[in-house]
Amino acid sequence: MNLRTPLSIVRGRGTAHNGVHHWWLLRLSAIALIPLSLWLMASLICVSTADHATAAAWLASPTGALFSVLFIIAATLHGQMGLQEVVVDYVHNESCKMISLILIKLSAFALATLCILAIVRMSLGA
Amino acid sequence: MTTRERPLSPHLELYVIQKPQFTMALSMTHRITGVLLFFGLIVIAWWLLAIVAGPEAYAGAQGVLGSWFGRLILLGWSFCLFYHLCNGIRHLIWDTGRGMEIRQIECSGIAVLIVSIGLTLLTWILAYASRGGPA
Repeated sequence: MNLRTPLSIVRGRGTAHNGVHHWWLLRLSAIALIPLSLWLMASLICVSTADHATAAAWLASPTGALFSVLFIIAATLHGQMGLQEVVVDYVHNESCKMISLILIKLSAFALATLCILAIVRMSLGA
Repeated sequence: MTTRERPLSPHLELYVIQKPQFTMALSMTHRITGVLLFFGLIVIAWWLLAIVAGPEAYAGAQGVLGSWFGRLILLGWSFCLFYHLCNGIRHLIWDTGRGMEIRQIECSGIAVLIVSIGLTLLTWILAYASRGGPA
């Protein structure tokens, strides 16, 4: 026999049973992206018009490598969660929804891995 | 068991029957810019890989991104980033329960538009000013 009240069982849970976690992580990655995206734009202002040696030196530098990896992690996480939110709100066909959610998750992981490998390769001077 | 067709959130049909609202347009723009920015990550990945691949690949990528069409797309993307950033901060403030009055929401919406357009212009002015100069 469960002595917990119905309210205590559902408190903090949506129909998906983990909505708070999604909400919280979306906000956390958003906060991280405030300084990281400003840093990225500031860097791109300088680097985007420069030659290859400058761009390579930027990406290989300790700050360049560190902040770009952090940006990629936060941006792919935030983007994947944000897109998921849009899809569950507007795609009502169950199989379309499932396929979109899978594609979003997989492409976010693939993008993050691709970018991080590129940055690590650069910063380790491969 | 029969289930009735219930409207699912967000209740877009509520808004469609009313006149278009400024705040609604801003909210939609937030989501649209967010989706576009995700696709921007693909271009960032491509550009990073071009740096790794070497000067030739980098020159190729720079050629595409530096063309007038590439620059137009990048202008759009930079606005998307600044808009989503500013409006995201607005959302984070709402999450603390502040600024929820209709008048405040409209004022912050206008502020988001002005600041994001301003930051976009500033970015491009600085980028053009630093062109060819030291990084």
